[in-house]
Amino acid sequence: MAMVITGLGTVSPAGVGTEDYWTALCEGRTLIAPIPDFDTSGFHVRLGGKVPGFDPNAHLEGRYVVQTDAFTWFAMTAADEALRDSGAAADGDPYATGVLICSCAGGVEFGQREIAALWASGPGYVGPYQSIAWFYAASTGQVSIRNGLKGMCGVLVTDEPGMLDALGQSERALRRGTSAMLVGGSEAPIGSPFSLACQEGAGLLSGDDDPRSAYVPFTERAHGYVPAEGAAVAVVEEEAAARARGARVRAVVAGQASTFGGVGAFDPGGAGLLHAARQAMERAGVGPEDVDVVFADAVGVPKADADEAAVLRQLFPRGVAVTAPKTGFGRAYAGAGALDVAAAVLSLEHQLVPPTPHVDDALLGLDLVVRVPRAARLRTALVLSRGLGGTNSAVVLTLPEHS
Amino acid sequence: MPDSHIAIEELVELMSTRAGIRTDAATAAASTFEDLGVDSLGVMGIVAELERRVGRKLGAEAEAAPSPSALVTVVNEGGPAAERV
Repeated sequence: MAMVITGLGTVSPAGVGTEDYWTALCEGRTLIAPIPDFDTSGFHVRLGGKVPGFDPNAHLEGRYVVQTDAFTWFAMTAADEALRDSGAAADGDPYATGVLICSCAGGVEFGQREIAALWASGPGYVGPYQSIAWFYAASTGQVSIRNGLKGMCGVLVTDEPGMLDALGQSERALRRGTSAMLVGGSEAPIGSPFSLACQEGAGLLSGDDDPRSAYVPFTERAHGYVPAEGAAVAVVEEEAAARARGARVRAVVAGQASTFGGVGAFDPGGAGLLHAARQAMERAGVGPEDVDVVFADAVGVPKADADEAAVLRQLFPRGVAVTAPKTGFGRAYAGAGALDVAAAVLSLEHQLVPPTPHVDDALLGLDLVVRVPRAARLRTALVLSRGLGGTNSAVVLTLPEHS
Repeated sequence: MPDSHIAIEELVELMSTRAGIRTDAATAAASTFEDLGVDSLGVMGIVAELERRVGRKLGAEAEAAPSPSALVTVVNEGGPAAERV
């Protein structure tokens, strides 16, 4: 069975919509800026990748604005674009489509407001929607409710690889008879002091105040990453069914694999990442010579970067083009892997590898695409993602055969 | 002393701020919460705010009110009964 992507939607620091996202990636635009919503003095990190001027009322009905956190606003908005893009009929069998939109932080900003009300005024002032808004599965649930999608639904809480893992789950759901899945990752982790405080303990955030040097993985200057918000959602279907209904097949999800490398920081040594990448390539039936571009995880922490570079050298002894467009806007946790999957699909479509902004001096023996986009014959892309706590995931995407 | 009575206009305001549903008094008076798109958690939030405004507990009867009109009736006529609970 071949699983294909027929719809894409994104909300990113480049704004709402996939076209603007791709334009910003190709320009290598700097979308990192001081976190605008609160006083960040006292925080180690003060920069972030914020979705600019997002007005939920412009995209969603009032009831969803009131009862959900920003991470769910982004997910619903990206899901709308993905559904429109897929051209899937809105009046089909409701049980034929499922939803798997991942998050690893949940609705912390919403929760902070309610906890502020608790301490300031008392328990009677905590709103009932707190019970659902904070929850990791809130985005899946609200996208399901709002679009009447009643197929297999769930959430995977695996940090950045969420959407990559969800693609693997979706393939199983399609095998069991589900017609389509809305798969994605969404996060809004820089809108409140509490959400930022939750990230500081890991000691991986950049303390730099210059957006151009704060997040520079694979360089000697690497000293952490900048957090970001955003979402990407894809519609996936079985290829024959998608073609039968005349859908535009944007990419084939040829292989996916996940491993767990143990508790702690990122999978130490990269052995788990290597295994996931090899298994994903094996499942896709591709060898190292077939992979045209790698979308790297690119944490920006020297040890994790060195591990990933070692994995890439082992996988591709003859070299491969590597890029990490997220250095332009930061890491959006469960949104990060999802935005990378979207970037890889767009890259295959445009036959263009977007650059790795702010990184000019690729070390560690990598053929990193820097400064400007690189035109290339692209048939196969490998996306790598790691989560704090040892999750690793890899996805192989291929350009569809146009019949 | 807080005013122990409410008007439908107050519910129109609370449906907007607590549940994100915009409507007018005439529509609210003729509709159920379900018709209007206010779910059970939305009604709970509205009742919590009403309890603060009228200065007494309204209880489960208020939270189970099927419509804005029914909720107004519970608040305006159920005072003593609610206080006995």
